[in-house]
Amino acid sequence: MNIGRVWRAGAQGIAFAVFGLGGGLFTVAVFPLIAWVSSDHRDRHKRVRYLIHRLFRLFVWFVQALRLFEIDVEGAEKLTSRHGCLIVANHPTLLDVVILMSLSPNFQCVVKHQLWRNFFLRGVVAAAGFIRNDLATDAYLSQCAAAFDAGYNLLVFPEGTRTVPGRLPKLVRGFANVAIAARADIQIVVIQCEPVTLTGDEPWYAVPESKPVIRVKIGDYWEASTFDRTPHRGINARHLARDLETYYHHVLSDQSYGA
Amino acid sequence: MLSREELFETLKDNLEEMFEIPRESITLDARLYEDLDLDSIDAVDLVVKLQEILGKRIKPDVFKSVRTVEDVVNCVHDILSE
Repeated sequence: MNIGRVWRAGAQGIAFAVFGLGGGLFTVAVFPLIAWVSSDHRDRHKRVRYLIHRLFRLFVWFVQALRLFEIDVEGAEKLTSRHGCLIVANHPTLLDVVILMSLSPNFQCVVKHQLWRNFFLRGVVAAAGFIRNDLATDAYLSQCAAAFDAGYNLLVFPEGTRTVPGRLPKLVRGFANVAIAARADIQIVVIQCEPVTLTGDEPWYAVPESKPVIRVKIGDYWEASTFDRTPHRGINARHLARDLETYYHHVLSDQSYGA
Repeated sequence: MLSREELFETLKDNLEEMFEIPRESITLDARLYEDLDLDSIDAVDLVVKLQEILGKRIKPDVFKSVRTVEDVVNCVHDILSE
């Protein structure tokens, strides 16, 4: 009888409950207050996102205090010093977003539109002013550009969805279009989780045999000036997406990935 | 006045040059999005380029129903015939 595993299953349930109920609670009790004292919606969004940053820092501490995960971050200071860049990460677990937001005080994020219909999170995503992933191209690019201009770092998962467990990431070109259109630098983050868990496909109580370790490494920084190597935007975007995919494959294959 | 064949060749040249699409995969029935991997931003670039070549404006709704390479050729041919 793996006591540790039973404990973690229960702890994971608690963590999900805290996250969901916390979202609902803040939507009802705190965000309206923030809206009331904020001079306009931009102000309100900025405050809400900063609050989320602090709460997620607490949550990351919380899941470790529950002995549910071990989370190791390498190079966190690099993230806090960035402004107006695109932060890209691979996406093995549901916790990735929480961890990344806990590491950057000035983030903005592209979020899947379904969350605006999610009972617990709809209030949060609206109050935070996240960018929907179903916007028309013009609106999407201009909102991203506005985020960079305001000095926020835009969090994007270039796969468009969570990494398929055991497989190397397959990137979608969207992030490259944003980086090139806005002339934004790219901060690469590599996330690994051993053993693989919390992929989003399993029930809330599914935990692995041993305590999972999530390793977050703040990796290379690519400057926007290096993205325009040919006179053709379409080719540059394709090359950039391919280069990032190669980067991830290289870095993730070095370790015993999926073993 | 360019024939449909010439328009097709010109289009192939541009798709290859602008997006690195292998020439062999550019057939008349090839779908721009599903087969040739163009996205909405690429489509905008393509329309801009076609406008440059034609020396005429292409109205946004005209391109909305374009799905295949053949649709593009017909669209351009129609505009040139006006």
